Amino acid sequence: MKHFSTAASMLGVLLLLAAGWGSCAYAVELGESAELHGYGHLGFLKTDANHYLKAGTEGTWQYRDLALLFTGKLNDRSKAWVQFYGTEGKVRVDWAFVDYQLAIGPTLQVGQIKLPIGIYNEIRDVEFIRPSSMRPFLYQDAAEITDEAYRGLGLLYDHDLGGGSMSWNAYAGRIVEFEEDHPHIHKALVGVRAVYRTPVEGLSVMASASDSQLEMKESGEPGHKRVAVLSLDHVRGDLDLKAEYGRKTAYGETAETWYGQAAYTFGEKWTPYLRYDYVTTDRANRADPSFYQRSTVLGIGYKFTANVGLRLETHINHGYAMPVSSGEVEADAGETDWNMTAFSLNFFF
Amino acid sequence: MRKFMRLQGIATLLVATILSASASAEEVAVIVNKSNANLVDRALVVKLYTGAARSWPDGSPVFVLDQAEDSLARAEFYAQVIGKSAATMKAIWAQNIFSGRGLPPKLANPDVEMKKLVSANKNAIGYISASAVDDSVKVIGR
Repeated sequence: MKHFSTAASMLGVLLLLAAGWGSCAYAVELGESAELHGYGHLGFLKTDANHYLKAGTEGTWQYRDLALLFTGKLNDRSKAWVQFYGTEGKVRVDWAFVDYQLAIGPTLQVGQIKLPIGIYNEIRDVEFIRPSSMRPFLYQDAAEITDEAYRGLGLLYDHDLGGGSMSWNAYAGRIVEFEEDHPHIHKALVGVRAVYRTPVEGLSVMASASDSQLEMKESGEPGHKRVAVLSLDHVRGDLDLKAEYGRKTAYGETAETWYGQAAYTFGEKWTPYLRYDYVTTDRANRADPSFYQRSTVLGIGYKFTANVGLRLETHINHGYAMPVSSGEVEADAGETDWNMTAFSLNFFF
Repeated sequence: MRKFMRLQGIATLLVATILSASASAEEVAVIVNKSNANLVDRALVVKLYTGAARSWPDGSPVFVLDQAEDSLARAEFYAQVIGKSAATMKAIWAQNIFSGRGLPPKLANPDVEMKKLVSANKNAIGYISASAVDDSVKVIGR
């Protein structure tokens, strides 16, 4: 009943947004130099076999979140950012940093910053921006490939290259542990992402890499988590094509994932999409369905307004690596072929 | 008489169509402060309005201005100069905002307000209807 009332109240907020804020631009102005932005979603998730993301055959409305982002201009070259993120009754500071644009061009960031890996990592929770309700495996927590944020220092630099342009994002610091049940702790982190916007309109290629030192909590054994992601992004007119390959190595195990995704928007309202997604949480055991998962995602999105939309999608899965990795299904105890259905309402401002 | 009325209706429709076409095709002028000595081409304007560039070539921070979503000048500017739809621009700025890379342009509407802000801020860039241009600002492209 509690879940139903929470879901109903959030649905009410979404409907109000659809009715009243549909034509609003991007922000709520808080005086001359501060703004409030936000996003959220309310989702329903159901599977026909394995439990995953707290969903089972009975379905759940627990798939919901809300985020508020405050930004303030400190001066012409500097801004402060802080985002609060709430889900399942818990609120956390998602990221908070100060940036400063140096006179010679680069921008410095200091604080807790979203990890710049691949196309979606920094905006992994902002459902409205991507075609699908659920993230590709590369960005799902259970895959344990991409972390969410780091505390430290980042450097952004843009320059022209040939007929296109490059954006560099180098960073150093330490991964933020939002969950405390990991067997290891993160230590020093370094990483870089390079984005090349080609002369072909809407076509970008990017490469991301990071190296985080680890230490096992019980044994103190040192190690490294190394992540590399290659991405291809082509957005032209109403067509949106994406493909990414990601790889993680840590303590002798290698996880690997890739996906291809296509979406097309008709009349600025309807967006059907298709994704083929593959992940193995341990390449050495990739023939075992407990360690791999292939998923064909078919879905459709609808925009009520420029800020409010919905998604309805089905996942046809083979293998159950994600339910095993998330601890919701025992290895060798899951269904190899299973389906998942997701429905969500989402918004941003 | 009925034939005459039908012809009159067609003529009225034609005139209205021509008028609306000329109104929607109103030229816009991209403007900067008169003291801005940077070399600004269309590629830089696109980068500034999509958040892909955050400063002028001389390293100065840029102050990007936009007109209201329902303004004719804005529709024309994004169609002709930036070459992206309103929905695409929404997606681009949502990505910039929630990744902490940058904030969307500030609104300055109508042309009079835009000219006032650009003429008062040496790092500003904006756009107005070509017919509203005067010597308080520098035009870098139409």
